[in-house]
Amino acid sequence: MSLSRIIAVVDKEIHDALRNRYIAMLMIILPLLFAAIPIISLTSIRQIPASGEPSEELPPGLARRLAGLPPRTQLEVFLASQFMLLFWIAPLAIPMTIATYSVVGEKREKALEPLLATPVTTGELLIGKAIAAACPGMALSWGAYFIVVAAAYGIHLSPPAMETLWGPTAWVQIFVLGPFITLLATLTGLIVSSRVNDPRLAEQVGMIVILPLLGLILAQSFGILWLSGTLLGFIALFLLGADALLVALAVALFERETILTRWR
Amino acid sequence: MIRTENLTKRYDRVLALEGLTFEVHEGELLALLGPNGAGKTTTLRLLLGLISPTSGRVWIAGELMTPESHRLRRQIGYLPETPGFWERLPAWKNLEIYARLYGVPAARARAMALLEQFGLADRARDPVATFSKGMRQRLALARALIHDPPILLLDEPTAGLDPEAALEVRELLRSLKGQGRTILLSTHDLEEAERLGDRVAILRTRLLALDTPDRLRAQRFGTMVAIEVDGEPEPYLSRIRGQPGVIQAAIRNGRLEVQVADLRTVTPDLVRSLVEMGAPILSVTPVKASLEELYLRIIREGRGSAES
Repeated sequence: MSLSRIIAVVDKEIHDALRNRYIAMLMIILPLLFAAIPIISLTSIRQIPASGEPSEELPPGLARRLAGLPPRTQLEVFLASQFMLLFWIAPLAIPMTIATYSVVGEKREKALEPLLATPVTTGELLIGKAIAAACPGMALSWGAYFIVVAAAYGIHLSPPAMETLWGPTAWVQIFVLGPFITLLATLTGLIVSSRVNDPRLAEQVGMIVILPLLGLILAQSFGILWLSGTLLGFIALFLLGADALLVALAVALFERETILTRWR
Repeated sequence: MIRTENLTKRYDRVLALEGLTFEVHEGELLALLGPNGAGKTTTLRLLLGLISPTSGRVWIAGELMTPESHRLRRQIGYLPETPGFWERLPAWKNLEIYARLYGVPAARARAMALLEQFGLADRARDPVATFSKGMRQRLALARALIHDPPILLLDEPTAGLDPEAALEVRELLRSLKGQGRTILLSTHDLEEAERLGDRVAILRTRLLALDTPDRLRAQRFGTMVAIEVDGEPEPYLSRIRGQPGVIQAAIRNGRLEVQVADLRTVTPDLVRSLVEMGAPILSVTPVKASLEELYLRIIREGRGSAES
């Protein structure tokens, strides 16, 4: 395993992705959106009176959890917990798109054959591609998260809501589960793209992994579940297992000969 | 430098290559000829270890080549049939990444030096997507040479190029050959094969022939000499046929065409006899069958033997 070859692959992938207009737009728009939505929403609910009757618009399950808190604080906590899930979408969508374009793009440009003729090993190639696909999504997502946290401090969000945005549970969500989700998206993107020739098709197939995340967002907004520390622990274990499985699958499915002779 | 032993490749039920055994010596340029689907690209991919043989083995510089022989690939520069670049990246970046993958020190300087050498320095910063076909082919050759390999595998480097661009690429190939590199050149261009190749290999799933073009001609057509006389050649034909060293003689295009055992020893005696017969000789020319005639004959023979 050669570190210099892995770095060369990463360098190539990042340069290529930044010159792809679709990917570049996605990398600009998604983090901006995910920073702007929480800031605008949390700022706008500052106009609701700080005290009064508890909100009846919250899902019953959630209302019970937040019982005793002022209505504005309840709403802030609810929105902050929903926005925390948004920070999982960028590390999922951006790496998926970069990963799918990276293999399918090379197949379409017929650039894979000369690349495979170099001393680069399958492992080095996949690691390089995975790092290049994963890092921008992670970095941009974390950037958007820090902006939102800074803005929350700026607008003096209530302590319970602040705890939801910047506390141990939030850190697990962003700094532990975020990378696991990124890896899941990257590996899925690489696996799917090594088997199809159309980047959009690869992306669509790969986006299936976004469905469970949407399910979580909906379940929490309807008060069906609450992302507690225990539940996050289970999700982390599940993602870890899924990632390990996908690593093995990606290496096994990236067959040089099949890619060269059949998936042209 | 390159050696194969009984190399066979089968894709499911399709036999792409069968029992290929040959050798390319150090500093030699071997031209690989054959119709589409003859197994030329498959041969090159097997030599590179990009695909595994169904049976048989490949040695590169004395070492066994397998799909896991990543280090051994440093010995080889490869120009695939479709050059294939990262289209959005500038030419220099394409070369620099390859230099780093091969572990070339001062990768950027090496990339720039090759772009200069191949006349692409002024377009170094342009994306490859904006390059013409001839420029791409030159860039692909530069890429194949980025790590200064002793062996080059070139898959139809002049295919689809206009005559001027093809000539440029051929000149480059000539200079590479002059540098003492071992080159295996897959081509459809018979003239190119004859001009550049030390030997030619004719492939059609199996290896049909392998030798210098002159020896293959001598094997298939014998050595021919054409004699032009003033007037009708008919009266001399029967007497020529009886001459020692003459294998056969015929009249074609109004001249005598004589197949002889050896051009150097038989031709002077033949001319002397004709002069003694009173033949008014206008010219005596050795006849060389074109490589195209030779190629077509070998391919047809190969087809015939495969069918039988």
